[in-house]
Amino acid sequence: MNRPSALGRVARAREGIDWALLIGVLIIAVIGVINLYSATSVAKAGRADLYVTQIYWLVAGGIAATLAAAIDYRHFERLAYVIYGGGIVLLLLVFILGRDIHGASRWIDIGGKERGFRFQPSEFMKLILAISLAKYLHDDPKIPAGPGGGGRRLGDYVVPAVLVGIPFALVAKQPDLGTALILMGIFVAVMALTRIRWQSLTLLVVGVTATSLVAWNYLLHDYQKRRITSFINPELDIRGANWHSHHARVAIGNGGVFGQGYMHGTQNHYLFIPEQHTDFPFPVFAEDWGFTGGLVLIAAYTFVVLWGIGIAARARDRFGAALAVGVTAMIFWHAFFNIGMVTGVLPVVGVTLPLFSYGGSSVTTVLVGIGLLMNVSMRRNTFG
Amino acid sequence: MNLLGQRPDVGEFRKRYKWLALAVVALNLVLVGKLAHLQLIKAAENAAIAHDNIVHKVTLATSRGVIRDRHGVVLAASRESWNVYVVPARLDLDKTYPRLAELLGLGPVERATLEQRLREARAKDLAALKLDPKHRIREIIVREDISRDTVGALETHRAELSAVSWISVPLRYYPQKELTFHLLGYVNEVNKEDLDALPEGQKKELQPGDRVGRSGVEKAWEAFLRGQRGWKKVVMDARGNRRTAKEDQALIDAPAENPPVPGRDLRLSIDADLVSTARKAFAGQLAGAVVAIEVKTGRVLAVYSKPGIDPNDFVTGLSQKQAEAILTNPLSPLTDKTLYEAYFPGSTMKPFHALAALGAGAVTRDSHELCEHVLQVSRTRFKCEGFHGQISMHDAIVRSCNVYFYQLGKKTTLDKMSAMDAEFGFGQRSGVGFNHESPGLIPTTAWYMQHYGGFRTGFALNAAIGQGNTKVTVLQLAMAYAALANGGTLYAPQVVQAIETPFTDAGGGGIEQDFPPRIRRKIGVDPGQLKFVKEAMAGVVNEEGGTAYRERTTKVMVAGKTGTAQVSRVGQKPGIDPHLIWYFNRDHAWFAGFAPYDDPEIAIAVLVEHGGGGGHNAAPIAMRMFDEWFTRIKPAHEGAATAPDGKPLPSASKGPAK
Repeated sequence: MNRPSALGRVARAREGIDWALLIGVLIIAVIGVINLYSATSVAKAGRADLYVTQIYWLVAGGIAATLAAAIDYRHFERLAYVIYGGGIVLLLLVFILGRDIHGASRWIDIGGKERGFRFQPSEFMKLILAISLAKYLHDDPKIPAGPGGGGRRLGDYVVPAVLVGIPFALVAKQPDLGTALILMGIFVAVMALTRIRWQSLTLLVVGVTATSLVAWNYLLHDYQKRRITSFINPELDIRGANWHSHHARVAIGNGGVFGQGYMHGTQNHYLFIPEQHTDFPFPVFAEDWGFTGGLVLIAAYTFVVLWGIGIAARARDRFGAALAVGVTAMIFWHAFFNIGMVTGVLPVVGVTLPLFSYGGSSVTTVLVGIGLLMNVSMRRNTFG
Repeated sequence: MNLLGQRPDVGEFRKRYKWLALAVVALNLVLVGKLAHLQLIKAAENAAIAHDNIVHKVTLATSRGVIRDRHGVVLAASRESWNVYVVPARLDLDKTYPRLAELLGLGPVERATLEQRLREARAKDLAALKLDPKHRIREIIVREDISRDTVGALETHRAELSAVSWISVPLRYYPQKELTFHLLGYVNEVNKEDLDALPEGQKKELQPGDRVGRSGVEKAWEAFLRGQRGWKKVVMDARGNRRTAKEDQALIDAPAENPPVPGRDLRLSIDADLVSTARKAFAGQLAGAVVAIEVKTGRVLAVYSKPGIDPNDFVTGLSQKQAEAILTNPLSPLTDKTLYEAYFPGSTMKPFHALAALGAGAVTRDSHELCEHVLQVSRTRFKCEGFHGQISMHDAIVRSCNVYFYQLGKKTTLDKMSAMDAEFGFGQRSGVGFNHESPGLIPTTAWYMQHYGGFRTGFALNAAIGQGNTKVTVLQLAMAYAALANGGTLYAPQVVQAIETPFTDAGGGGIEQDFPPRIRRKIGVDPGQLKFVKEAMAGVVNEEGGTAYRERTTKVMVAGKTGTAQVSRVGQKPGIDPHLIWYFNRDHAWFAGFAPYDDPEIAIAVLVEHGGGGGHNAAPIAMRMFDEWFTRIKPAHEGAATAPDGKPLPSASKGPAK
């Protein structure tokens, strides 16, 4: 174990940049920019060159990702809870300095509203959560003995549940249901790595069901409820909550097998796709490129996600593995929720499509996440 | 041995990765499945919705036919007007509406009411959309007939006026104003009842905002005048803005357009100049009516009913104040006095009763009666206007002796007189076909039995001088006088001479259908007796002592008959100043006649409501019309064979040869 084997040396020779991950991500990013150009081509001046800004963000995100990959992830492990604390403070700051957009304060302005720069702490909170959960599992004193050696009880999940619970509550309060769901998704995915007793699992399922009922009755905002009911019964409210998803679905269907052609999707061209640069870039893409294009894109995301799981499987330690799963889960849930919502598989929740949706916080977060994946991938054979 | 050099504690995770991977693949397959459902199975359906989202059919207005007089003078046409429409469901009430209200120059009250209306329409449409995504949202009209300046202002601020459009629509225009009010009628906007009344299958022929004929020729000939609307497909984005670039047009599927069919033009037999003359001649009178008939065809040369209203006021809708003024006017401007209302004809009926008496052999041409001003029949005294002594039939007509005609009536009997009246078209609708023509009333013995429970000789006496229960319309009288003039041919009155196809770039401008004169009947009168009666009618105008002698014209020899009809006395009339009630108790003045005597061309009947004596008040109006017709109007069109339309109207230049 302490000496590198022959095979280990071969592996070390291949060490370095994870080209497959890099190329997969680059493909998505390039298609994303091309699609953003089509999506915003119909918009009025000021929005039409968003794709240029997006390229700047990609470059900035790339630099941030390089840094995230370069610093040995064990530093993140060591500082995990400090970072976590910082993230929570930023989320609290949103309530003080927050800037209202569509009735929700999610942003913090830096350097003035006009020329300044603003960001969403909740975006970075996703990565911070992945890091902290990984840290918890890494330091977990209760690592079960070998295969078949029992499982965890519900009590063993209290600390991670608190770790996700605080940011979840803060984000849901903004209110930002989409991000809250992603946080929960990351938590579920990372926890799925652990072994749980089946009795505990049963209890959990019952508990979650009961909690959902309470949440429905007391916690959810009306507009959030409306989105859910209109998802269950889409005919109920076409013009309101369902107007977006109705026209998004029409756009996707209008793409047919091969699409209407780049920049020729009529639903987009005639402004039937709202928020086409943030939450609804996929219908634009699917209308332009059809089923063929949609398939390629989903395949690309699937590849990156599966590759991310592969990185976790080959990670050197528990922190690396859990971190890789957390980051991968973030990318997966984003893509799944977004495409699911625009195709009508899921209710409308505002979740961005990684590297397709315009936005600095979103792009930077995804790319830093990729950087972390790269970090784990590159250091799987580092000893010490 | 861990080949990857992992720490042993990662072992807890090892079995989980494949499940995670499996979950990822499974969930993504759900997405692919849904994508396939939308893009492969439902592709056509979604493509159709996407197409319907942007390609909209807009209706193309048709143009209502132009109505011209016999020489091409335009009586009713369409002029350009601009209307402003709004799509309430897509209107930004907070930003766009205030700007629009400002540009339209709306007052604060108007502004608030319209905003309320738009809000309601918007809520209604949005609610309907929730139930049915295919619900067609409505465009509503917010302002009609805006000025050119306003159109310019709207054009300038087009970018700020999302969901607002302004469209040029033809608006009916009556250049002759109140002159042609009763004849042409007017058009105004259809209401819900009109739309509901449309038979199934024709529901699309009319839409809210369309205008239809409400009276007169506009109503009677609606089917020809209206035309058929068409449609055109346009591309519109989600915000309700039209897109007109080349690539937008390429999305429109065939057929892209269904062109409208323009309405047919009408050529009337009316001579606007003669109608105008009638109006001038009527200047001194408050109310009355004129009908002029072409003797040899039965075509109507002029109809005029006073007072009239400018029909243009009706086209865009009357204000409350205007409507009240019209409805409370004691002179009933809405009534077409040429044919809707029937009046006691008075002495203008005497020629027909003379013919009845001669035909029945009740009297001879030379028989005399003694007029001592009053004729006592049992306990009733029947009066004459004069004291004529021994008087012949000729003189009785010339001087309008009532006593002679009382005796004539007694001898001829009521039913023989009413039979002759019926021959000349009284008591029946003439068939002119508009404005709810009154049939008038020619009482018979049977009628008196039914309505009065018995018959007395006095009824015949009164009927003989056109009083009692006899009622005729001005049109009936003119037609009957035309029949007298032309030797006994009763025509159906015709106002429309021809239907013409509109003159457009594509051609047209020709006669589609013309209407030859329609004879109702040849009246069985002895030509000698008719000539005798007509001589007497010539005497009315041309013999000293004739009731219209002093009003005669020297330009042409006119034959005719005056009439002074008593009216039912009223003590009070609602809405009328009691000090003016004397006017409404005054007799109606009549004159009916034809000219030239030798070869009559034109017959005219004039009624001056409450005008007093017929000779003084009605005859001058007819005389002036005869006068101008023969000295000015007719000669102006004498060269008709070479220049069919005297007026230099571009649209009339291709008109038919009259």
